[in-house]
Amino acid sequence: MTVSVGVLVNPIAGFGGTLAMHGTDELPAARFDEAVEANWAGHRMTLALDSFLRTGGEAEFVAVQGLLGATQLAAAGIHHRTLGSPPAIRRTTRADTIDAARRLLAEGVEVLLFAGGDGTATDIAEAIGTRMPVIGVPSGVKMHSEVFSRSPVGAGRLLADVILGRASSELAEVLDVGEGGFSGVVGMLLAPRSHEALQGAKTTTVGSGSSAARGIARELVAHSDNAVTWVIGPGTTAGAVGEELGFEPTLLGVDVVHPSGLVELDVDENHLFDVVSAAGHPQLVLGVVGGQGFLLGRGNQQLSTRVIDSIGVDRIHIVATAEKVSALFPPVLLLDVDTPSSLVGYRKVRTGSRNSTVMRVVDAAAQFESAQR
Amino acid sequence: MSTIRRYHAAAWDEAIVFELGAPGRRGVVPPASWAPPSTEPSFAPGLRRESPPALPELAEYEVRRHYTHLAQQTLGMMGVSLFGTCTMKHNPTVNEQVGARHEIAEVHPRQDPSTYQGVLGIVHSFEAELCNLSGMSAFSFQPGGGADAAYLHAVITRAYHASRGELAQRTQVVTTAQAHPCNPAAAVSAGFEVITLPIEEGGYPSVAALKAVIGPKTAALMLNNPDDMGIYNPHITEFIDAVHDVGGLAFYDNANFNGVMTRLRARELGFDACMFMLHKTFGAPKGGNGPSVGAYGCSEELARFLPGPRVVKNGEAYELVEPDGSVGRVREFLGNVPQVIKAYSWTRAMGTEGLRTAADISVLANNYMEKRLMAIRGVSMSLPGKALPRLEMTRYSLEEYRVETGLTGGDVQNRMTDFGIDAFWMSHEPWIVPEPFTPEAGEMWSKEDLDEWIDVLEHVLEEGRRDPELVRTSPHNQAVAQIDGSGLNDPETWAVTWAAYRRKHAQV
Repeated sequence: MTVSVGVLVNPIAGFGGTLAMHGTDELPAARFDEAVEANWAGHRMTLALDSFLRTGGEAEFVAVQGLLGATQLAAAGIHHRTLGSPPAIRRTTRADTIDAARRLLAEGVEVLLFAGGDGTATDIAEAIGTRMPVIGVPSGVKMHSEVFSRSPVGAGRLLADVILGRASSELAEVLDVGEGGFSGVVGMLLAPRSHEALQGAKTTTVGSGSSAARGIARELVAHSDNAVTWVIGPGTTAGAVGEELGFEPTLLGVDVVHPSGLVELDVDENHLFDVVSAAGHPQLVLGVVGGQGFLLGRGNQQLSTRVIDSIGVDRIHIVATAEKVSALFPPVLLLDVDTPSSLVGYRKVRTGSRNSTVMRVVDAAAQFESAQR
Repeated sequence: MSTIRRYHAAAWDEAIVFELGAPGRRGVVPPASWAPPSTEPSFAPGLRRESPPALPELAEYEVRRHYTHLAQQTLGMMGVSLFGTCTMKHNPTVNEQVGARHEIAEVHPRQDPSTYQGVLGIVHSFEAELCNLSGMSAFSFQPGGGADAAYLHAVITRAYHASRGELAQRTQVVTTAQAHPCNPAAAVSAGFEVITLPIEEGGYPSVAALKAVIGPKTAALMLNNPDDMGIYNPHITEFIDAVHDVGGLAFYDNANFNGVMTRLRARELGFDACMFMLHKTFGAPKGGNGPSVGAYGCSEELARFLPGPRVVKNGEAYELVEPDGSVGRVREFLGNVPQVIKAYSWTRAMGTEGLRTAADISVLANNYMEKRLMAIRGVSMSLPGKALPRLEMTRYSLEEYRVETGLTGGDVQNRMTDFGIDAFWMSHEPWIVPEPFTPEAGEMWSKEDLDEWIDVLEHVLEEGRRDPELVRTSPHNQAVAQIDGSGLNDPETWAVTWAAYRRKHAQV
């Protein structure tokens, strides 16, 4: 059976990297053509599709007309179907990316392959959310989001696994600079995860991230009583506690569950401080942000030092899947906060219902200074 | 680089034994019994099956041919196997002959102990030898492998704290990210929570991280040293002292004993218990998950919790006794006694000096490999220059090569088998080094073997640069091609028996 695969290329992605521009979000209009000429993302997409075509699987590629995919596929000689009109855009903007992703979704493609960075992932999350699985071909400058494969070849192989029915999808956090210039979790995508191929006789099976998160949530909720005021930080691992408590967490903001059962979504710092100051038994569930290992100061500025101190370190549960924390070396979690935090030091991190690890929580600025010395 | 020799495995493309033969075919047709038929049925009616088992029916030559083909298609020990953390070594043939002697092979554990005093004498003597090597006061050979020994320790930890009235309080076991995963798994199986200390910049966990999580809830520390990357934690005695200070026990998983044999003793470091793998370090066979022994040693204080029966010498006689505080059984009787006897024979043949030489050679051989491997483009090692020099193995990475070529460690591993090199060991999970591989030279393999292994790796890496598809689609010269591992995590798909296969895939 032929699977319809949407292909989306950010034509200028990756250009900023070598120029130390930290991405192409702020690319001057005059340099747009130069970036298109470089065709970094188009090249990476071609690598991914070549890898897929070698692996096999019945797929029809669908791309929108012009620079957001069809041009690059045609140049690489890859057979595809083009969605025409509106006419091809000369200089694309993020609005065009969003529009293209929506058109591919409306066209009924079953999986979307895109080449770009965190900015492109953010636009796609805004456009289609979690309505279809998305594979990121790493082609940008910043690629902290969990939707990216480790290499273009890996993305191609993952696409083959999706088409052969060997993959299942999980929620993936999209990280980027959000409103107010703070970086953190800005959206969610549905990302396929392939079952790793056989590695050897002693291979162990690691439970999927979502089942570990559910295990942590069940354990935390089971060992609490009705007097607890729950504060649920951003991210899917912390969010699982919200689901266990019976509501749909915002995932991007901080949610509160009062002992009465009342749920307040996406509360701000001022209100949060009032809530935890008044609460008899506040408990904070705090996740770890993406591949950077940030605990505070990335998309969760609501959790200010005064909020943390009011809750108390002993009532803070740091949660993360083993997959996420084992990728952090050295095993350090970072705080980007203005005032000294009581969280600094070795802290227990829950990684499963009966499992935990220990991470060194440090002030990111201090960490940077010590690295400089 | 020397010339790589050509190799091709036998590939018989043969059906499995259940699909061979034809109804009525036999090897031997026994004569009809002359004894009068029994009036009493041998089995209770409820135990009898309703229809005969669906066994294959084959002539004798077909059976022999089939298993000869299977043997020819098996790579193990026919090439070079440097499977790290497993300490691959030759199992001397003479020890197989010892194990096959009727005084050993035909003993039944329910015989009266007075009728197999020789076997009990060997078990007793070997226990003394392992006490000598570890400084422990007693050993049990009952655990059927390293994980079983780790489980026994978790169970004994429970019994020890229960005897002091502290079991309800002591709910946590601390381990490290590079301990063998059987340690946390055994602790969880025995009902404990597990706290895993991560590897820090120096290559091992810090005392500060340990101290941040131990206290009145701590039941035990369970770890390997050297760990799964060959790194020795130089602060090990501080770890043990800290755990003892809060009332916990310390268990030494000596799976990686090969590089430190006779160089250190678990009890002298302060450990309360330890475990040796007789089927790895001590020269007894393994493979196919065949009979193995995780010899569990402990202090005088813990000995009363050991599983029974235990062999004790009373005057000139060996007797079997139950320890007063025994936790019960983790396996039957005295464990896999033939393996104990083979390990005894191996150890006696080596002698203390021989063990020390073997330990030193295994470290020397690893250092030799490290020197050559680090000269190969695309190969890097974990924590270069950070930790102390590695002991009997080193964790390497092919990440640079993956970035360069798109080929993974798994691709390289597959292609190496095309040259008669057994698949290398990557790493236990979680991987803290990307694209890991962990060869362990041990004391047995010759310098020529190690050089061949390294030459083949270097050759395959170059092949991948020239022709990545050749490596990605390997093996090409093996009995089987790449297999689809996608069903491994799916209970609806996997089948380890013919009956399960037919039930799940043919709906029979």
